[in-house]
Amino acid sequence: MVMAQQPVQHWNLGVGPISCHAWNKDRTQLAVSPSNNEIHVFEWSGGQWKRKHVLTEHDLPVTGIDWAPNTNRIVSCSQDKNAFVWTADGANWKPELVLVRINRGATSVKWSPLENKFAVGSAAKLVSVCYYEKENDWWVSKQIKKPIRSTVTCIDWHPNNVLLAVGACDFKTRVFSAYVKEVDEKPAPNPWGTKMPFGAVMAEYSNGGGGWVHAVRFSPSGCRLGWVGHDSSISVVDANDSDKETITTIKEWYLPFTSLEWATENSVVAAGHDCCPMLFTFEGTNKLKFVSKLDVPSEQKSGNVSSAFERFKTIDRYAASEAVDVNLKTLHQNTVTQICAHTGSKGSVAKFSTSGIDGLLVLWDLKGLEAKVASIKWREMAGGSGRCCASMLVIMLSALILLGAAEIAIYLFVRLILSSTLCKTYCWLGAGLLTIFFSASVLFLMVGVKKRSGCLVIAHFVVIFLLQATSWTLSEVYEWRLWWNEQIRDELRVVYVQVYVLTTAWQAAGVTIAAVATLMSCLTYGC
Amino acid sequence: MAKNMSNTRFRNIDVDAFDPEQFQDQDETGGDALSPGVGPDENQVAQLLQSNRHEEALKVALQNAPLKTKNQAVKDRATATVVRVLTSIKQTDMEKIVEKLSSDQLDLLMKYVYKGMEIQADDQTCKSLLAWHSHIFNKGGLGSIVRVMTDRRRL
Amino acid sequence: MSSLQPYLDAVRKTLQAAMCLENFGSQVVERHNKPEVEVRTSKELIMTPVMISRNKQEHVLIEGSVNSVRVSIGVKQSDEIEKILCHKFTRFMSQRAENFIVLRRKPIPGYDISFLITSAHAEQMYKHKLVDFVIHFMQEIDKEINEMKLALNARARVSAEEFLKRFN
Repeated sequence: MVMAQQPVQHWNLGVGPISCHAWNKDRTQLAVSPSNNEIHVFEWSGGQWKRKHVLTEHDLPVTGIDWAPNTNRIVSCSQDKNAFVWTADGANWKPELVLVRINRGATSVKWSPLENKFAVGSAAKLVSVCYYEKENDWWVSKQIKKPIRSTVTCIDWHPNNVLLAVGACDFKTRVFSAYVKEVDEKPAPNPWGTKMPFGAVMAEYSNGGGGWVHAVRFSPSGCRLGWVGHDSSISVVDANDSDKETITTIKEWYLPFTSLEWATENSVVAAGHDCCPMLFTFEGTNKLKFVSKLDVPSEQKSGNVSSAFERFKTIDRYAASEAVDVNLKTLHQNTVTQICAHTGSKGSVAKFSTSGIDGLLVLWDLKGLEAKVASIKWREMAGGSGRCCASMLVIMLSALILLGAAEIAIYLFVRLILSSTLCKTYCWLGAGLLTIFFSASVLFLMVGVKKRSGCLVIAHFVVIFLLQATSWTLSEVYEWRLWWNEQIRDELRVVYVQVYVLTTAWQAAGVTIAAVATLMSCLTYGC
Repeated sequence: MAKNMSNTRFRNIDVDAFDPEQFQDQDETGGDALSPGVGPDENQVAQLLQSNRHEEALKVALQNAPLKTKNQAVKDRATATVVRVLTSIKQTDMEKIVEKLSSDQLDLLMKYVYKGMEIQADDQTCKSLLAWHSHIFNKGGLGSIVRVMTDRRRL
Repeated sequence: MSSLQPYLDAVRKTLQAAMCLENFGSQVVERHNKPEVEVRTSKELIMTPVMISRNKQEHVLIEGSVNSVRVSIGVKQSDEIEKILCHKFTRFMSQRAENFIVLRRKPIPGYDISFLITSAHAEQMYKHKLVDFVIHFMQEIDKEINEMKLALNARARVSAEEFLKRFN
């Protein structure tokens, strides 16, 4: 299945390798760290990204940036053991003091959903949860330490503002409670647990493979937790599952992922050292599936038109005895460092952005990749199960088959009770055409299902639609002509009218269902 | 003046090893005491090899991998058994056999291939092992190589 | 050699897998950033070392970690002359390790030459080109040593001829 070749929006910000990025609320501004101690804030003006501010309070490489959409504050953390909260003050960003109290570098930072606190993961094997203290006008912290045994690499907040997922280099993913009584209200019980004092471990997972956890994310509802590890695996846990211990893992063919993001409640996008975002769907325990790569290698890059010339040019320039291929086939030329949701609501991401070590910022349009995403969308609509969609189609199919058979029967019946030559012709014509369409559609369906070809299944539904339309047209024409020719004897008119109404209703229903089924199958099986 | 100035053995203690916060590899169920030398059944493997049933010999050799013990001799013996099976299979049969292995078995086989190249490095063995490497790579991909390196249960 | 191509392929794929590096600040010393494969203080940050061999002499050891990779190569040395030539050649290059950027000044004991590739190198240079460089290096070193041996033998023969002409 080949996707439409749409140009993917990307910009080289010209700052060098990008280690992390964050968007503001309306996506007009972008904060980026070029793998050093600076944070560059870009603004979208006049069709390109213009550098507006450079924030230079840190003195060692910045490892994490997060932008709070509602309160418009940026929090940044770095290997120099510091974190700063920046507030926009007219033309500048002013840093505020944060007492993180860690004695090793910080590795990641995230605002909580209500933006009243943020968590900082660090190489000191702990997570610092920081909240604002009004009396002294600074940010103070509480620390979650046990039982983390190695550097914390990634953190993510649960939508209830209390639970925190933490991934670390001791190969484990944990869910902690970060309930701070100064700023939080008592959280409601949820699938992860009922009692949530600060620092309590609600769950601890290890998928047995031994890879460092690179990124961890709660799903939009917070009931599912997904993470990617250095053993080239992606794992998901569903807290709603009665047995919370079952981890669904896929061990991948590809190089390890470094980042992931939930696009909907049932689908995940992950990207990493393979420089290409990939789409997965999760429909329940043990149902984690790889769907496809989202970066179709563009054929234009291999440049077959002038390839001989290119080859000699590269031989001459690189002094190699064979053609040297400098570019990778994917859009990103080096590792992808972070994925951020860009447009769309939390439960349904329309676009997401990736930043990479090659200095590119790429905006991927998930809605534009309709063909791949359709199968996910329909599952959402049908209540999160592909089987539901298929069973809807089966029900429609049976209804249509019954209708088709009934119409053929009606034609033959009418032919029996009204025996003029005109109606004989029409009836034989109608019955004949309908039978042909009917058998053609059944043939298409059987071959399509056997060969698993989406196009044949669509063709089958189109034929059924034609069948219904033809039948309706024929019967309308026939009745119209009859009415005009007054061929029907008066006694039969009443019966005739009743039959007419019934058949019209059936045929209208048939055409509508066939049209809807064709549309549905186009979207589901669209090539 | 403090006593005992001549005894400087304390300088050789590795203080970091006693740090309670250091990461320790989880020792599964006591190690040697409970599982004294697990490994594939060598007699069964030898029998299957003699009767030319290479595929089954490989399957038997991949069972009971001694990943959890700390006894290096057991692990080396297991590696030798598996390498013997691998070198006895012809190059034309390799792809078919690899197709039928599960993902866990593939990862385990890749571990054995690398360990085999480390222990038994003679020409013929390495040729065969390198051919196996490329077939396993075609099926398991870069992920299978990454998993050999990241898995804490080493051979 | 019939097994050269599979050997280089295996090394290439293993290098691609090992070169998934990220910037990682030290968790032992504050404000420091050291290649973990060299310091070896934290066991969980170091990956299992793997070896790929073609025969007893030619082998490659790849040791990976979270932010650095160490590649040690053992070169074929079939006789005394090749041993000396290899030793001199690798010493020449190791002493100029700064210019090579990814070369290590001293080879790991048991090997002839070692590379140390860190996450900073992976950021400045393309990963796939780094892998290409190492493979290319392995191919070239054999050729160079052979050429030097031929040149050495030719020169030795010429000088021996000149010397023996005296006794004619």
